[in-house]
Amino acid sequence: MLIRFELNKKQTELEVAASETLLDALRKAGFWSVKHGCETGECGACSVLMDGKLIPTCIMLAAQADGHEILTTEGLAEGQDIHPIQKAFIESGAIQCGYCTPAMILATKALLDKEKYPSLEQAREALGPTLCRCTGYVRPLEGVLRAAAYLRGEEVPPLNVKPIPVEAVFGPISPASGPTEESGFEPSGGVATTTRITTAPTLTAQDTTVVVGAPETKVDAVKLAKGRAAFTDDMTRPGMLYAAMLTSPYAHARIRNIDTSKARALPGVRAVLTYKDVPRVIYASGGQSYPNPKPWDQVSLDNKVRFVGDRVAVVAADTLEIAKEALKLIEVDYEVLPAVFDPEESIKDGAPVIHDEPDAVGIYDAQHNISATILAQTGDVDKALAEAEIRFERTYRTQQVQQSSIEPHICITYWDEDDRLVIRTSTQVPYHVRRMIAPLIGLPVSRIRVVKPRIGGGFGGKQEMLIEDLAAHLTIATGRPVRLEYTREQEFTSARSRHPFKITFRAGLTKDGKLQALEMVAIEDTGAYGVHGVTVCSVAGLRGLSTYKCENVRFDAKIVYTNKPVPGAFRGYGGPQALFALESFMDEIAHELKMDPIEFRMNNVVRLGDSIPIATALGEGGPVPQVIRSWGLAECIERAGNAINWERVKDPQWRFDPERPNIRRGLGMAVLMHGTAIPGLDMGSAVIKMNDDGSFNLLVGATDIGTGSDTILGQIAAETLGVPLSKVIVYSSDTDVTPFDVGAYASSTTFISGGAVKKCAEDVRNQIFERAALMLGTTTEGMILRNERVTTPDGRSVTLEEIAHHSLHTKDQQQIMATASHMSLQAPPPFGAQFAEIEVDIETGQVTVKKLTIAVDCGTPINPLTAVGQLEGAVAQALGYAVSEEMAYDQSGSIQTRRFGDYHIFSADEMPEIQAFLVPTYEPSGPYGAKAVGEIGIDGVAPAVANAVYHATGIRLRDIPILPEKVWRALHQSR
Amino acid sequence: MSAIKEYYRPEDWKSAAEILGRPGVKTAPILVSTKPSPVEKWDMETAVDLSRLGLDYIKEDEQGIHIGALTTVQTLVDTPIFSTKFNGIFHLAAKHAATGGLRNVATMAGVLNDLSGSGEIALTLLASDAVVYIRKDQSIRTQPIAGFLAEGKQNLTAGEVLAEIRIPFSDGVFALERVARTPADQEIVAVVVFLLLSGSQITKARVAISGASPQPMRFLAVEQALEKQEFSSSLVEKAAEIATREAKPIGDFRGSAEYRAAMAGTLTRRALLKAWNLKAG
Ligand code: FES
Ligand code: FES
Repeated sequence: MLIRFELNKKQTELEVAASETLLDALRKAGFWSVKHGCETGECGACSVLMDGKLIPTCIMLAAQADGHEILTTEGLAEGQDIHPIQKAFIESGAIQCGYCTPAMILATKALLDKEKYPSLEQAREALGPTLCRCTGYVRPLEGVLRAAAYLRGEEVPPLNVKPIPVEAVFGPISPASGPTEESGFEPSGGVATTTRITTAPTLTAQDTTVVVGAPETKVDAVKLAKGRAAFTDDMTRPGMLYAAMLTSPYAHARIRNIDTSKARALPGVRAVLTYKDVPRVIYASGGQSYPNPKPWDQVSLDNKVRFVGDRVAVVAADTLEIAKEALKLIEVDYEVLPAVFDPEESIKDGAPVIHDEPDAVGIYDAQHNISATILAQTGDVDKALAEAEIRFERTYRTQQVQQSSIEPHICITYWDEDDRLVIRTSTQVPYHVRRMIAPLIGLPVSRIRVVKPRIGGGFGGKQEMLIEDLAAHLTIATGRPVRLEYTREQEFTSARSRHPFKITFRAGLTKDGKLQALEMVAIEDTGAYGVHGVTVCSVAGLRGLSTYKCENVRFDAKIVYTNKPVPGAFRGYGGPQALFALESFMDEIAHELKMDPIEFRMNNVVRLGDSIPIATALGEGGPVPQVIRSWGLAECIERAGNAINWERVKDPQWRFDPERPNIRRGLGMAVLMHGTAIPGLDMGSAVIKMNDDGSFNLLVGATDIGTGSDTILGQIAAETLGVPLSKVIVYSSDTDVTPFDVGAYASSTTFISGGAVKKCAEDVRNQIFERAALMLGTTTEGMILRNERVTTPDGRSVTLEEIAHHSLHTKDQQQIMATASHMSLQAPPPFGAQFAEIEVDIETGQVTVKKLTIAVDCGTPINPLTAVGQLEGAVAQALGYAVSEEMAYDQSGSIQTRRFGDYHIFSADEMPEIQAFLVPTYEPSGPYGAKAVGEIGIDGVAPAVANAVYHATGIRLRDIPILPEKVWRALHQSR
Repeated sequence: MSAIKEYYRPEDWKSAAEILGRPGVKTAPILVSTKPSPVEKWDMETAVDLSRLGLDYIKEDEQGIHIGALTTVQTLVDTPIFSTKFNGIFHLAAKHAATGGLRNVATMAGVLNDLSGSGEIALTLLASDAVVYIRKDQSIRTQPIAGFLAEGKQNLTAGEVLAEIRIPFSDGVFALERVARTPADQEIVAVVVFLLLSGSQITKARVAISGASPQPMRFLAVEQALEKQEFSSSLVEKAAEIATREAKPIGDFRGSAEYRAAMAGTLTRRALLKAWNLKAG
């Protein structure tokens, strides 16, 4: 049927099917800013303005738009023009992955069309409909208020972040006499100082960094603000087929037979694949370095299903509707098997054996569903425990939660004109995907190209080869491009999640509260497959046993199969589980010992110069000894503690509200310590080449998943090469073009890939100096590269453009370019402090988080705006982890939380206040002193909230999420 | 795959009745609730868009408020009368029902067609003794909201359309209480009470609870216990006990049956006290 409506102020006609959603119709017509995030109107990514109102288009028929006025983000500003709202969002750092951005910008327009002077509350209401999993809404709200000021015609000052003075970052010393990188970590004054000393070649003590440390806007922000076709699904290919996946309705079953004849006979169906059609190649789907950690217990399509949502078959058809119709015609004969959902039941004799296939590799004890075990220790824990003056033991439990990136998993596969398979995919690990998929589809790596466009959030969920193999099998079977995308429901049933843990801590202490022994015993639920299980678990052990100084530590863990959807990588990667337990445990001990919880922690915490004993016995890529070379924890505690007004903890009356007798107030905190990259394993690399005009192409394999890593890497290159960021053209994550990088995980990108970029830029800079010396008839001695110009000590100079022309066209022609790789044996931990203020309703058990403050020492923040954005976003995710998010199941193992409405991630209109602070230190092993910031923010909210609940009510909750009912029960028991 | 093969947007009641009354074709109006199922699961073959029938309105007369059935939930949030009258419970309930975008497409008819995400809106209608107007071409019939909700979709015969909801004005006070995982999450349990008081005597009581039975409903035993009684703290305690006892909740991931039953009592108590204080204040 033909519909007529005004689309972006132009009369438009579209031919649509009666059943077609407005979302599909608009995307088909090329309005790519309208995004798909769910099918139930609950995420808001698909929103447009219809007659001035924000409406989700996924829950509307296209036909209903007939006669109406529709505005999409494309209609805000044409060509290279920027609408003031887009400008405000770009400048305020409101855009991370950018997937929610077009909808947020339209929501802002709807508000500002009505209200010139919006309040913060109105801004929160306006952004309420648009879920964002990246930002925690702090910067988008700033974007709204900034946009309002622009639209009122006001002068809006630039963001107030000063460049980092070199004195602060590199120390007030001359290059000739300063300490070297290795020795340069003495504090410049007091324990709590933020400053570390080292030298900066070619810079003088009076300089400031120009690009590093500046709140540069993201290099991809404009295209994201304009809603341009930047994501995997924002394209189509001639002849493209649509794939759909049939999943298991049973938690555990053997497939006796599958009959696909009816499905194949449906007109428009081009391929139906089951275990009968694809080779049985054993693998592990986690995007990890070669060789993938064992066990290898998966195949593309199996004759056994191990959870509700497991793969059964996949179809490619001319349309998605036909593909889904075909799924209903596949007849599967299941032999339903007993299932087990509790890891402690799963390891018992007689429990159903989940992996009885003979060809799995490296399962520790398949008969008892034990995927792997870890035992790591230093010192003599038993002796130290036995001799300790005081002993404590507590057990904590954490739940399964879902990454919930707003962009679902999506990939498009096709043969290119050279018969090479192109995989355009929303992934955090393009290089791992290329290597891992090759044996599954029977192609050599050389015939596969993986391209990662912009990605709508990952958070670990896309550190996985989750669907690429299925799409590739279909392209190989049909010879045609294939698009496979998860529905939101499949994100919950069939994607990855965070491992649930049961953790028991045992500690031995002296009477005055000094830790003598610490043991952590863990049972990790790895669901139906072992992927990421052992590495997440080892990180949990590292995180749980690193923060506090103790020679006698032991980690003893079992990684156990159950018939549940499979956990994988999720921001923090074992850290949030371990830190919920550890930081609750420390609080409990402090209270039992009647010590101030912060003082108790500070008496035991690791400090500058300390080594981390557990790192000598345990590590994701093997043990690598670690020493703390930068440490800003004390200042973090002070900053975040002051911001929450921690002093109130000492006033017992503050806990009560005379107006509301059912309310108790509480404050809680947690100390944070995370890792930076996997030492000895993670590697990144970079290529930089110089162009005619003195600009540079920077090619990196590093994967920007919305975190801003393209921008940060560009800043490192720009700083080193003495150019503004606009002169560095960043291109990333294309296995044919960019050099290798492990990908976006383990808090490694700034540190590892940034290290590679810095080395690479230094090499290019040396070549530039040599060319300048040639041009000026001098030596490179004492040359400085700044402001796009090389200057000699005697004041002569040449511009980069002149150098480029000379090198490319004039004499001894040469392409100035370099490549560099970086690996590190250091994994310098960022430190931080998380504080929470809460209210507990003692009649209902409802906990309301009022305010969260966090301060983090991430070394030098290369870009303070994106760094703070990382913290705010992580804290918002962590809030859901603390109080509400949980993948819930029925008795048969079928997930109940299958839509955003039920799973519920926090929206802008219900967020507590978040304040995030950076406490700069200088990490000698990091580029420009940087260490990681991406994950640490997710570690501390759950323990801080649990500790605050204890402060408010005296009840101790040892399992999360802290749902109203749990608090209510605990309060009842305590009465 | 959505079953929809045809789409109609009738311009008048006659053609609406004709299309909706066609035998043998699975025909239904497009009704979006605050917790809608995906379009691909809509099971009608013919989708009827009623937006041209003029059902998007709020009118006020001396009897009360008339809400056109295709009025969006957001209109309840935005229209001042819902903040100023009925002690603001309609505004609050509508706000809790969904986020703003969904509130712009979800309609009152959608909400009443699928209560799964709009428990609190149902409670406000139940507590205010709303009446629904059902229309087929020129014939109109009415039904009290409680009966309409209890009977569910069987209410409407072929060709009939839910056209209007009328909320009568009254001199009583309303109060809403809820518990949820987060401030904007769907309620675990919510209670709306209405009290008409003559001095301290309760002449009429309505107590409607969601999350404590398979669907939002009035708790008649609680109402009976309250009516014709002097308001007192012991009466409130008794009402709360009855609410807990009468609750027949289905537990889920938001809260177990036991918790929901307990909250039915706790929130009933709170709502009664709040209503009493509002009256006093
Ligand atoms: S609200 Fe439409 S895609 Fe999520
Ligand atoms: S920036 Fe909002 S979802 Fe990523």
